[in-house]
Amino acid sequence: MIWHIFKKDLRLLWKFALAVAILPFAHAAVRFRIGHEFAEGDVYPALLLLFEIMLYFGAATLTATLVHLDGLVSVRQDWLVRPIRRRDLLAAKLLFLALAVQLPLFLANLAGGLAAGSSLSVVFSAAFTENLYFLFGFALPILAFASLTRNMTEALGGAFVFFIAVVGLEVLFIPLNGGAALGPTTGTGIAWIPQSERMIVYTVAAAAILALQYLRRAAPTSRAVLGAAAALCLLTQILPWRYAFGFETALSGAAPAARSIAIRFDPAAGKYQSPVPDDPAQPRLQMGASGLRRTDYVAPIYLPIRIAGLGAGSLLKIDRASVHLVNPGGKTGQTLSPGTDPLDFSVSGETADGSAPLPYFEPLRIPNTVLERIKNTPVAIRVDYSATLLKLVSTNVFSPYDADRRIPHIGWCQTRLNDSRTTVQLRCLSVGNPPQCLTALLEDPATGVHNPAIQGCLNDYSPYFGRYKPSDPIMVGGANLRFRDEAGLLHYPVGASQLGSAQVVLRSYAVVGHFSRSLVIPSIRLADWAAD
Amino acid sequence: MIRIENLHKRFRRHDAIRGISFTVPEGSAYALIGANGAGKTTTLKILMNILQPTSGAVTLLGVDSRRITPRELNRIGYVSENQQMPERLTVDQYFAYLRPFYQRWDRQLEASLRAQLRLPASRRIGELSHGMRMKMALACALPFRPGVLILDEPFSGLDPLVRDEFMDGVLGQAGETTILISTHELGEIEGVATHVAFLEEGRLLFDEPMDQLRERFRAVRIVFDHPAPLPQQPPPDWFHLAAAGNTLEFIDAQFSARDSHQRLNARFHGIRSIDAEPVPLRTIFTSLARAVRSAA
Repeated sequence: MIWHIFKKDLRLLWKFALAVAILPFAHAAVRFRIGHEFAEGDVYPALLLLFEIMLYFGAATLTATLVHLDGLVSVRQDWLVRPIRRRDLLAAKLLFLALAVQLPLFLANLAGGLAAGSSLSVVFSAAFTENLYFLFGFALPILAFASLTRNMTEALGGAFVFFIAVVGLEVLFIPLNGGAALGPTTGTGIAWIPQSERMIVYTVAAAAILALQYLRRAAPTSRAVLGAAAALCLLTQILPWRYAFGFETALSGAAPAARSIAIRFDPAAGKYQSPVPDDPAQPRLQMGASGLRRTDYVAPIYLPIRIAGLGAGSLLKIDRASVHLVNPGGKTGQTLSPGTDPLDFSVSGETADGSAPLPYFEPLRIPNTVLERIKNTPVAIRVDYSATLLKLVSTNVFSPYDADRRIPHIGWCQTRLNDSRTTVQLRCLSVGNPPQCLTALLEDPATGVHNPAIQGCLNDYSPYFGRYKPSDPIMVGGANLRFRDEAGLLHYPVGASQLGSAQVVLRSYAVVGHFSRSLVIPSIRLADWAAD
Repeated sequence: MIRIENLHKRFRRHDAIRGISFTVPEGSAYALIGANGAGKTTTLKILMNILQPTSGAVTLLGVDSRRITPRELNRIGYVSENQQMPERLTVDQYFAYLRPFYQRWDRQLEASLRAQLRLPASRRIGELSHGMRMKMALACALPFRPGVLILDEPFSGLDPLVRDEFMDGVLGQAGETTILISTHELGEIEGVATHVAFLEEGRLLFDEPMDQLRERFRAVRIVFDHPAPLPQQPPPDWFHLAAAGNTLEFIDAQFSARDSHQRLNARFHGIRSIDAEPVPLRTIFTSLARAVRSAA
């Protein structure tokens, strides 16, 4: 009878289902039209976002409508008095979701990925895992939630109340989280761990609610499950950093190369001074990383450090640096800084002369209120580093002019000069997860001279692919490699005159392992290391 | 066929059903009467496993109502005034949808019911009037020849013509189907019900065969040879007492042809004549309802 019920639902909802099924294809078509995103300021990215929002909203409302056709909370539904097996009804709803929502999304992602130039196996794998992510992280929870409501008004109202309740609880959690609303792992490479925990909670709770609702129509118990699941999801957000990073470290296995890495404080390197003013036209290498936690209430302290033992062709990424005061007895005192902006600091193993480690200035963010109290007093501090070691995987060379290459594990890359001929634009379309870190630079191969490298990291160590936004598996990464300053204030080693013989060098890095280090500074006056 | 024992249902702080018990014999047409909010619909929904009882035992076709499976539902027809059918399906489409779920769906019976009730095949259910929907619900509840037919307030909002059509449809099933009908439209069940139970504020006031009920409820008219006295403390089963001139009138809920005259003669003197007439079900119902409310 599953097929029979499915046909009835399709007869009632085919127009709505068709509209929702078209959306991922429309999204894929716009994505294809955008291509490598060289053009700026056109309407397509906005259209892409619009289709994405419509897809989520459409899929959610279609799911709710589907459930309400044979509602479970109401006592007036005709199906309740018919000899319809409840597991058949549930199976029919799942079949409908699979065919009307999941399958079109999968096919659209498959088509979009193939159009983005990736191989079928890579595209299939990425589209499949993305599809599972959508199913377990969105479609099933929505189905379960809708099964607790009588109609669309109740579903939308319930979702709104639920949202407000969750936001309210998050606000209550802020003090527990060291002032950060979203938890210590948010915006870091290990954010996937609490996300996966939430995914498990969603899936288990959705399965429990669907079973309770469809097999027993036990709405009060189901609502209790929903409440418990919401509370659990909030708790996953405050997963302590050390447990999450410990899990990630255990998962990635031992990294012998990391054992020789040492971090030491180097006051002789002097105070940090920005070499050039902030240049808004020089964006970071874009890797689609999630937004950083903004910490406007903090003051940056630039700690001069040297990192030894980092081999050539390797990259060290500091995922978190937490600063603690150390009491005279050697015990850990007040925590000054829960962490650092995760994309702010990484160190390349390529040094100027290939031997001695260069000094680096690591930004530590310390709350202004705390800093004002202790900045002029010598204090002992301990910095706990959580770091990731990456190794060079491939070096790829392009012409700065209209290069067009498909590179395994990176994607479909193209270069182009911008209209004002000041910048080489490098763009790569990746399907699924691109390499963990990429560096790009403009180099004169004859002399070996190069412009400063631009580096970007994905900042996501998850062992599987899947994400909420966007719902397709394509990622556009790139860098703007400047070689000429129109105002004439900046001089580039590889300038416009060398561009004819220059090449774009793109290096990709993969994670070797994760490790922790502690740096103890017995006496430091923090005011000495504040940025000018 | 249907047995309810000490059934309780509580909605938060409100006791909707307060320990009712009754049995519906096989082949009977059992009328559950009561005012709005008496608990009739709640009782029937518990019977159909749409609501869960707070306590008590409810069995239908020998099965605990909480354990009713599609096998039992294959033999139960249910029609309710507020039944929600898929509004965007046409009449034809809904019949086609329901047919495969039933093992004994009789297409000939379906066709004759649809013709008898004059249901428009291509009209969407959402476009049907209330009366049409009730007829539709009935037509969907009968073609599988249910062993039990449960009707919850089937007459509410129906015009007399539709009521007649509806009752014709129901009466076509009488005899081979056990019918449990909840209503406060007493005139409609008067000639149909074989048993009647009266529910008031979640309590069962009586439950007995219709002929017994008719037998014991009488409109009594006593003519005295002097001005009629109005008893200061009448028996609790006398309702609507009224004295005018030499005449005293009331409804006696425990009338007995054998000894009521004797009891009345012993209670009053100067009786010239006693008449006892059967009363309509409506009068019985309103008498009891008022008595319960005034006692409360």
